[in-house]
Amino acid sequence: MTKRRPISRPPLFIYIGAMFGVVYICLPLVSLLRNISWGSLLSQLTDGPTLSALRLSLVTSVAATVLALILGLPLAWVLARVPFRGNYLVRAFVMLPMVLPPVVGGVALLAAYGKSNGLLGALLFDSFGVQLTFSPIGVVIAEAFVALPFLVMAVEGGLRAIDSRYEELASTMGANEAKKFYLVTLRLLRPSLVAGIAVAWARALGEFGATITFAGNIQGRTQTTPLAVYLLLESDPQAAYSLSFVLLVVCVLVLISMRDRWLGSKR
Amino acid sequence: MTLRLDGSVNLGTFTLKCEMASENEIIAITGPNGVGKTTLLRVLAGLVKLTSGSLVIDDQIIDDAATDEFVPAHQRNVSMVFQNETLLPFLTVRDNIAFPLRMSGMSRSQSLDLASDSISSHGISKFANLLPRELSGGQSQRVALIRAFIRQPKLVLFDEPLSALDEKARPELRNFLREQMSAVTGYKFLVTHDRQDVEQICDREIRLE
Repeated sequence: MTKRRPISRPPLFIYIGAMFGVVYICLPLVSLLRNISWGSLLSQLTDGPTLSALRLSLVTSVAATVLALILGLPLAWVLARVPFRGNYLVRAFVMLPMVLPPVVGGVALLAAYGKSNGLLGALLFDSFGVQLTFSPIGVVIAEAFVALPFLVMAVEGGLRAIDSRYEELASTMGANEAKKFYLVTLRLLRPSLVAGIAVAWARALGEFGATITFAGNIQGRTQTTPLAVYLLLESDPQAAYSLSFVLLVVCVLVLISMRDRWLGSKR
Repeated sequence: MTLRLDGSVNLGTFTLKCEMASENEIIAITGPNGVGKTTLLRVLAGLVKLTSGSLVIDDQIIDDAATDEFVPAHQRNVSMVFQNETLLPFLTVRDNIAFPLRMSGMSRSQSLDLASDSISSHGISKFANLLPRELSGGQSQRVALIRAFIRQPKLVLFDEPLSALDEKARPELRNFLREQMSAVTGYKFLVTHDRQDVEQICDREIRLE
């Protein structure tokens, strides 16, 4: 469907405002690039603490995305397809981490999983000696907490957009519930699922507030790339710029991979 | 052999008692918009449960609201074709035609072979590897009809399969529909607005009011 565009041109101040909008976003990003010492970029990124932060970020963000997927897909399914009272309330709670200050999310996670007086954390520690705070698993929990709503939102939207006739057709052609799910629903959901995974992962990768509050900032153990950037800005600004550049590139790649969905190119 | 439906769903009530002497009748379902023609097909297909009454085919209870007996859609051996977008959009023509065969338990290679045979016997080999969006409306409805008859269906449920086609494509596909439907033994329903469909394809007309 092509939308009808107005024929008249917008007034000048619209153009000027739009231009400043673009500059507002781009100026810091371009400045960031300007501050990178390209010659030593690789050596900075492979330096001990930097490399360990990158490695930790990669592992925890992937794990957090998997966790978000395991919890988020069923959740999105229920929200999109199971009519029940209080549906909107559940959705509101699930979406809360999107707008909640991450540090508040971290405090809430401490209240739930903290080892001394966490609602569940104390039980885990007393019964099994398991401590989630200040551990890489804590990083994963914090990242998944903020990433989950992004995944749920994308997948729920995708599920709602699926034409249910295709699923019904599959039934009439002999597909039982399981086959219908794997062969038709998941296949139709794939673009939304990929988009949801991509944004959830990007969000997990960039997580700062909840992570530092809940999992701390222990180098080699819970210090993820954003935390390392923040610290390095004091001690080794060049390394901070290099790490920021990596995060920027990753986010740009995520955005490019979803250009059809978000940027509306083509069609 | 009879099909007997006497029931209602929440959307509206129909008490359709159609006792068919012969399985081979092709029945036209006609009537004004919103009267429940599509709902009737969905009830027969097992996509909607009756809220009261029952559906009995060949003395077997298929759907009974009182006893909660219900044979789900995938066990009814039905073939449905809609006005448009009946093909699974992410499968090629060949894979679409093979889909019901695979669901019936046939191996992937065997089902694809059978689909290929069917494709070439219908003279549409050049479409075999195309996706539905690469076909014209008439072409994709033809593929949908071929798929509908790839395994012998017990219930043929067509919901205005020709109405989205232009005048040029319609007569040819109407002949095709007539041939294919006649060759099937089973209960055959065609929802249509078109008098020519009723007269040229169907043996009997049930008008819903």
